[in-house]
Amino acid sequence: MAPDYSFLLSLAGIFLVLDLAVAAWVFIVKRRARALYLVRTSRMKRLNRMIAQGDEEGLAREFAATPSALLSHLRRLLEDVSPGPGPVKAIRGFVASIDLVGYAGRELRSRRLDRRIEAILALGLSESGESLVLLMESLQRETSTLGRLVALNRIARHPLMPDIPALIACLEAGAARNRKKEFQALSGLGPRLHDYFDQAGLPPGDTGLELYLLSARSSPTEADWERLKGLALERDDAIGEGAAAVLVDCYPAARFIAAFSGRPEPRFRIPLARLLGMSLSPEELGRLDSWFHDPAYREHGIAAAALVLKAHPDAVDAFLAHIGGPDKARATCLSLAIEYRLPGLLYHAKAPLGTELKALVSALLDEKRAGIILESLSVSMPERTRLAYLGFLRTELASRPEVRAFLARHLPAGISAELSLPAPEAEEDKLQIPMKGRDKVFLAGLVALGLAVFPAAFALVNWRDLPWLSGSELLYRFVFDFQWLFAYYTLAVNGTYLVLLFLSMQKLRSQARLWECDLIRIISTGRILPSISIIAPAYNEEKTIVESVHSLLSLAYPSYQVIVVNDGSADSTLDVLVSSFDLQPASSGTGLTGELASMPVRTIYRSASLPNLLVVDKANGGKADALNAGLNRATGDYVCTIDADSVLDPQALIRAMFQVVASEHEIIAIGGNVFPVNGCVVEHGHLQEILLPDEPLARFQTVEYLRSFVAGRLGWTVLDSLLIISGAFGLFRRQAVMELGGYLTGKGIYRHETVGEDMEIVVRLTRKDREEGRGGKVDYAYNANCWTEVPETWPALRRQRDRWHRGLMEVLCFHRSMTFKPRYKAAGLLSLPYFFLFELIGPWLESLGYLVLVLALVFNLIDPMIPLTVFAIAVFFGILISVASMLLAERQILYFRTKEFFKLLAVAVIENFGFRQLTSMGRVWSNFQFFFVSKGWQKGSRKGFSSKVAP
Amino acid sequence: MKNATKLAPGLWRLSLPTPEDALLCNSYLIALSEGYCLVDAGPTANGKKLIQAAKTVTPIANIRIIAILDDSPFAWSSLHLWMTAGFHGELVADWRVVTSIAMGGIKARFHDLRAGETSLFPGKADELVVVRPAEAGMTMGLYHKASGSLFSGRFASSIGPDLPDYCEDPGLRAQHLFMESVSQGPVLKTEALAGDSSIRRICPRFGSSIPEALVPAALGLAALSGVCLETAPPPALDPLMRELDALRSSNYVLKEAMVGASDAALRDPASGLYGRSYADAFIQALCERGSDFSAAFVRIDHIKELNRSLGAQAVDLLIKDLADVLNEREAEAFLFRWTGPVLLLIREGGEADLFEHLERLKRAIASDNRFARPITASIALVRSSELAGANPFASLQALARERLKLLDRRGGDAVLDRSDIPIEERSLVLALDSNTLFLDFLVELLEHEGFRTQGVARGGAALELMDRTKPELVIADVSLPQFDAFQIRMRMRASADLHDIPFILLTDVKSDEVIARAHSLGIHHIFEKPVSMVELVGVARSLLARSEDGA
Repeated sequence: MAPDYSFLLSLAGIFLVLDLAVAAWVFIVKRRARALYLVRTSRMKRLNRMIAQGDEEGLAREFAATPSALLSHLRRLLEDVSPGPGPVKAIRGFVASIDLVGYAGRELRSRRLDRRIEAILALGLSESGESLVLLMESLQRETSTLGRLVALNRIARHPLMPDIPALIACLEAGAARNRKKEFQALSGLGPRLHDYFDQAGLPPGDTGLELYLLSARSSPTEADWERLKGLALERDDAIGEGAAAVLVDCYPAARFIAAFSGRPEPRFRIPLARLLGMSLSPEELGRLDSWFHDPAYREHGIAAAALVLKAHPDAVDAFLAHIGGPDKARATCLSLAIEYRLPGLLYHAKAPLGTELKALVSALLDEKRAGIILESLSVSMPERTRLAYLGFLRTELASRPEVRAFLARHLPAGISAELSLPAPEAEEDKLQIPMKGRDKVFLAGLVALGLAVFPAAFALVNWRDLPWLSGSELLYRFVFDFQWLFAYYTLAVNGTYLVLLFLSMQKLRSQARLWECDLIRIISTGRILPSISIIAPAYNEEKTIVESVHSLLSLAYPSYQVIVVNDGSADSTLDVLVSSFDLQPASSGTGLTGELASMPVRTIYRSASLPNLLVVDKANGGKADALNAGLNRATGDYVCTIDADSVLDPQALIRAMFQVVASEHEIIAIGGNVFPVNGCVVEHGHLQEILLPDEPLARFQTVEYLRSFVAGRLGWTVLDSLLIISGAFGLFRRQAVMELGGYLTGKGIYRHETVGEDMEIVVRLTRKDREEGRGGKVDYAYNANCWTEVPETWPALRRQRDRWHRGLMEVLCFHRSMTFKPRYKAAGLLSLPYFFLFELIGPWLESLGYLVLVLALVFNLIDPMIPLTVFAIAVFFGILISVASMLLAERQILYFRTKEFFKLLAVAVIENFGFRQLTSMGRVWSNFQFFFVSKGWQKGSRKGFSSKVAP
Repeated sequence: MKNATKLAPGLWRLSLPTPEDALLCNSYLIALSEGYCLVDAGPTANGKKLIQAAKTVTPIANIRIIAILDDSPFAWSSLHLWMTAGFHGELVADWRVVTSIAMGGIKARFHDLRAGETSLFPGKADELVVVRPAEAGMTMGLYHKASGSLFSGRFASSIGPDLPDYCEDPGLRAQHLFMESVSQGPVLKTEALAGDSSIRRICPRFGSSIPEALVPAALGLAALSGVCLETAPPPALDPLMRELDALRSSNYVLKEAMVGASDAALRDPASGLYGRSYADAFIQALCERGSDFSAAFVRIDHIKELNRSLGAQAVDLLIKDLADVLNEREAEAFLFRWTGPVLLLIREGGEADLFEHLERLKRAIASDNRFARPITASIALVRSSELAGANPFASLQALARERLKLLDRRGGDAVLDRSDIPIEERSLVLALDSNTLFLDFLVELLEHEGFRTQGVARGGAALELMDRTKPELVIADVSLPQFDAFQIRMRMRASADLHDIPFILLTDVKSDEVIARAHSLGIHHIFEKPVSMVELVGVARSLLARSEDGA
């Protein structure tokens, strides 16, 4: 026994030493960071002074000493300072005087992408022909997405004209996936290209033509109209579409309508509907008939009709005349276009309802627009009108059971009775999610199997001795061996963490190097950055919603929209929104339902003053349902899902999207860090100061979040098997999510609900991607931060963790077939087994270990030093992981003041005595409840943002 | 009643029917051998009647010259009417008047008297003689040989030989006396001395010495037109000489007449002084002429507190009182209202003990008991010798601004004539940008350009700093951590101290939304990055200048 024990002891000792070493490292890193900062700052100040004073000699000296630092400084400065007279002229003079091309030529051969990019950017400082030649060469050689984009950007900005055929060849050599982005990076070249194409004529290849479209868009002329028209009519591919798009965007609408009206191709027909919608008068609605009658284009016709109504808000009568008319398709489409006006029409209606109004209501009922009917019943109208309306609805509803059932469920009993609706079926609580029996059996069996492994192994190893061991000896040996198991388990789980931590470190370094190149200005040119729709579901958030939306509207991102989904709040969330943001009901163009099934949407609101704000008011259906309703209205390339009460760093979107642009693969989902907002100073929906929470419970969670986000998730992306993106902040490719059928809801295509919708969607995205072999990736942005409120009381924390764990188990059940299947690659081979082993069975083992530890100590079963040593190993290893995560977080992720940082360091140590054990026991309890008690998730009680002012 | 009265052969007076206006609005029409000369065009209000009157004598096209002798708009504001009525000739006017006319928006050909010629008609040198002022600050005169009349603009109106005698004012009475003596007949003439056209003498038309009876007239002519007199005045004329001395020293009385006669539009209603635009033109003309002068900018101290405790009307009265004090004590100088609480005193000719003189003036203001509440004044003195560069007027403005600002920082109640301002007393610019590299460069460059600059990268810190240091200009990038530039601007506007600090916005993309939001917050200077530093520095300069003028 003795050597074994000393081995354990030495292990514990090693970890203790490692802990101390990492802590010391943290100190050194902090100090070095400070020194490095001072050196950099003083150099920055020195260089700035030289430039301001036009000291070219000083600059030349700096170039001789540290060329890369000087060139990078100049390049960054010229992003904000325009060329012109004054100091900038001195920079140009200096740049012309040094051997920039020679230097950049050497640097361009570097293996590090960030150095190559810096060299390309430095070349951009020069205006000589040599630098352009070198830029073209670097473009030919460069294979990384980001490197090519930067090179193209600099070529476009170079004062000399590049060799166009060579440029076309370079563009053709690039990856097809990046084609659009690369053209956008070239957009600065547009006007100059125009002259070139005027002389050289239309280029032969498709790439050349695309380049021509780029130039035509920048300065469209009369000659271009004919050329573009020819292209748009002849070509039936992307070129034709592009040409048509330029014609739509750059020439008068009337001209486009006159030239292409009646063309059947979608590239003409879809913009025609929109242009007609903007230019038609209400009397000419008949001209949209060909859209109304064609199911494929119906929605565009409806959108056009909605535009007509938007331009002529008083022309409802003209619409109603058509709706009452004989043309059925036209009537239906126009009904959908004006459905949001129904409550207003009813408000002004007289007792015997007009036939047009009746036609409108029955058309909406035919289209199953239950939400707007529900909304219309809450309008106050004169008693006689109301009775007439109810009478009409009663007869109409008789033949429409679906709408009837919906209204019966959502209307108050009084009106239900007046409409003679049946009493609502005793439907189970929406949020109660029953687990299928066989899933439970599967999970329970798995846990039982996991727990049985050790006794079985014990029996197998000791089978010889079993018959003659006395009870107490057996117990002693069992407990003793169990300590070993526990020690190995601890080593395994923390070892996994350590591996992930190292992987994270690699990933973080490569991401940080690129981020520190400061390429935001470059990737913000043109439309390189994908557009984003932020979907913020809100349920009873009246206290915080206005501040949250304000903060969402002031993010640093060039093109994004905010969609707030009011998930049937019982409080005045919607009223607060309507009054604060000047919201007006608006047609969404395609009516109130969308591609993804969700609970009925009552009204869609747009803000009069803020074009990028949309509010969707829908019947309550849970977060996943609200996200689906939002997804239906989203138009961005990516959707960003967040909790309405979390605070997004203004830079979070751009940081996440930088990784998307820089990636060599298609990114289907990308997540960011989530940290507790508790204790931080939040004012006007913006984080003013990052502080540690006051409550110890929240402090422990700060360390926990730091560990799991910084150390865990980045590491998983290296293994290409990240399966969790927090629901509090995540971005997804909209198209991919729409193809999947959105989030998992009872109404969705899978008829299945989950409380772990955030993890489920990532798993499903990955699954579909792998099944179709597309090579999409789930990524993680190391510095995109989001702050969210974490529970500060034990009961609230328990509820939250219970929900998480349930979600995890549901997802594991739902997608268990992925496990160990090579076609799912690392996700199936690594990630899912990890979840089963360490997240499902692990907590049981861990709790059992602690139980045995306590029992052994209390009943003095074995030498108490052994379990204590094992415990020490667990604790010291845990501390090692936490402190190492903090070390990583120091790099650009989270800025704590030195005092707060060391406080956090202390918390990271204390957290291992109690908090971790309790959370792991909490999981066991969740598991237990999951198997034996059917329970839905409850929302934790949340406070509003504390508008505390820093002392 | 006839509007054109024939006074002498070839001389008509054009005047209005009412005797009250007669003094102020006399114009004279003189027949010359080729065409006519009009002396003073008259005010706009009377222009049409005067034109009618002139037409009874001759068609307007025959008028070849309009001579403007008085610098008040009463003498020239009807010029445009004359021009539309058919006048195509030249204007003869003093440089001060030329400035005024040009400011009145009238474009006409001027007969340049600065070149040294005296006759308006080459070859007929003695027909109509320009009497050049001998002393700075006097306007020119015109001597008509045929009628023996002297016209002068010194007395707020052109005075011909037919001055009415209802005037009680002592100064005007002296004038009257003189005019009476002149109008006795065409006996005196002025003659240019050979070789030096600026020196002239007055001599009798016939004979070599002035008869004793005509000495008063000659003296008067000499006093007014500054020509030298060959004969010493006989002792019998002492009373008249004394009266003329009094006339010369009581510029104050004359100036009051000038005030009364001037166009209200050019005057500041509160103080009754000529306003900034007039002062600008005046100084500019002084600078152009290269004359030696000194400008003292007198400002009431702590005007903001006074405004707050007394109200704007009472402060206007204070300014009026200050104007009175200055007018009394500095009768020789020209007084203008520069801006708000700043009055401008211009003296021609450099004086050695000017600084001590102004110190005394400052003390006198502080001890004067006519003010509703005791006030102190700061005086910034700029001498014409200090002005340099291509644009002396701009450098005068800059020096004045600098010194007034410095006086303000030092708490006022002082006279300052230096500009070697220590760095901590220069204007403070607050620069806000989250990009530390650019921020540092901006600070460095602005310091290099002579601004005192502080750079802040975070919005919250900026608000604190602003409360403490009260910058005079804020340059901010839209996106800042904690508070963005719009939020900062909103808070500034809510604050009593910070709401009028000028603001320059920097933005990555100058989108319509940004522009609209900026305008709604009173930000009108938006720069898109990359920023042209030359332009930014220029706008910063002009904003700092404007904020000083508005104070």
